[in-house]
Amino acid sequence: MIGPTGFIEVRDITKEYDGIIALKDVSLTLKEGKITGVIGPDGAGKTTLLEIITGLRLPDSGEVLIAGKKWTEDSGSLKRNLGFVPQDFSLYSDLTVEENLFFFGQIYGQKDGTLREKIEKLLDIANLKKARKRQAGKLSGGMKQKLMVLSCLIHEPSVLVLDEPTRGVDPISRTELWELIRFIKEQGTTVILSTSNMEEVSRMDEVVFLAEGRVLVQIEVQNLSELFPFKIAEIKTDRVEDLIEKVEKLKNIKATHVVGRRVRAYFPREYEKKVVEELSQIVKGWYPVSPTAEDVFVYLTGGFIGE
Amino acid sequence: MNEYVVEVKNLVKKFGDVTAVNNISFSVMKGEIFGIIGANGAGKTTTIRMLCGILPPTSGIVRVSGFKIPRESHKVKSKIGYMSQKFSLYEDLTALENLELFAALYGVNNRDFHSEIERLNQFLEFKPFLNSLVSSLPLGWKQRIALSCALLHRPELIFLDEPTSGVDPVSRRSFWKIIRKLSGAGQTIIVTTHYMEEAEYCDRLTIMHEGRILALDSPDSLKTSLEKESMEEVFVSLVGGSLEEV
Repeated sequence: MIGPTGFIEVRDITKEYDGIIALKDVSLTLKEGKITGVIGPDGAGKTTLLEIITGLRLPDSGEVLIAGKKWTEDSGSLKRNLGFVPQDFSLYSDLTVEENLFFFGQIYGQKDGTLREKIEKLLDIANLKKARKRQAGKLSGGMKQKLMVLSCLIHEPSVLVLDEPTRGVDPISRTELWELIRFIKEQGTTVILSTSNMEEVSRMDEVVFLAEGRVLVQIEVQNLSELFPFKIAEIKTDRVEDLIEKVEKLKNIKATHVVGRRVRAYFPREYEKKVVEELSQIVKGWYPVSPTAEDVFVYLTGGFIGE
Repeated sequence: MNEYVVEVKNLVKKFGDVTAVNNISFSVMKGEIFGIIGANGAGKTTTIRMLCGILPPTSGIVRVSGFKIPRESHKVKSKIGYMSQKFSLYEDLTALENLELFAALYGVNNRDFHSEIERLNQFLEFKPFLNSLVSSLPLGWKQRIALSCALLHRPELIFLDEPTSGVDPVSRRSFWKIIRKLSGAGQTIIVTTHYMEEAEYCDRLTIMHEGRILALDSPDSLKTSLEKESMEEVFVSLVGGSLEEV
């Protein structure tokens, strides 16, 4: 059942730990069948938010509704419809891949026959069939991560929540994990996950930027760059220091940022013509580039003011 | 012409039957920001430990700041600084007490310590936090204090291990700005990470996999030569090509 305003409603959540605010007045409306990413640095409140959504933690005030149901009223049916992969999820390292899945399936009360079928299907989609007899403790980091996700899918939840699934995971395993997450979404499952890695935004449908316990913005990924008021010129150079000095002297440049041997210059849209003229005086060529998710986050947290 | 701070030639490290570092060669120029990129188990840490003189190589040549390793390892130690994302700070000491501790460990005398604090504060701006307990500091400030601890003895070469993962983007940008200043002033930086957004900040980098070097170039050249948009794609295409189904 879909609620009248959204599949998952987070309403005015506030949570403190010993007087320290973890979340303040957080309200979100999450859509069914989408991948929503909660993005913010360490300490932003990501884990607390996910734990409150999954009913593991109670907020000081506010409430969460999943498909119109509240944790305080109907936790039994919510639990059956929800899978949560916490950061410190532990597999049984001396059990094999399929034994782990079998164990978690039994916890959810699954019957032998259907459980075996489901395990086959899950091993197949995660490309873990060849590793089925290996002990979980002897898997690579990326495989372990995938097995954790499968363990939380065994009861076929309609909502899957993952807390920083790609933390400490190398790019190959991360790519594989994202393929798995995308597949899960395509099966109709609603996915909510957290990350501190701004580069992962492009893989999500919607993002929630979180900083110091507050929601900066909730927006569809495709509309993200609309939040950014500046245009960006990127200049490649082998002499970063010299160039930066010259660029920062230009009147209409509001900020600069150096990545490797590329200097990025930020300027208000309305000054584009002037900036093009000014830049042509000091450099041979430059490229207009789109803002990254990190640019938008830095802007929303005030990082471009006073630079 | 170019002054090399690190020279590595045919370096090998074996642990029993396992070859952790398999015949690698590279040089790092003075003032360069050089990245050693790879997944867990690629051989990054073993390589760094050999460069620091903590771990003797099985074979090959390593020269750091002009000193031969392992023969002159003891001389190398005063030339290098090390900072980890796991921040080797004592949480129940203040920022200043941490700095004093590291200064004492590196043999920095009292007078030099105070002038160093002044010098470092000019670009790290940590003074308002000196008397705060480290445990109470935001991550971005812990990172600056940890960097300061690694810089107090004016090392020629600084190792940064995943320095900015999980840090808020504003702090991360100012951190890399500081690193660029250090490199501009002639200090050499070696970054180890598997986070590709950190890889982008390097002048040149080497991608390691199973103890070998798969590529060594600037991030832009790697992207251009492999026709990829991002370092993540570069990594996946290089390392993915050599992965076996397990």
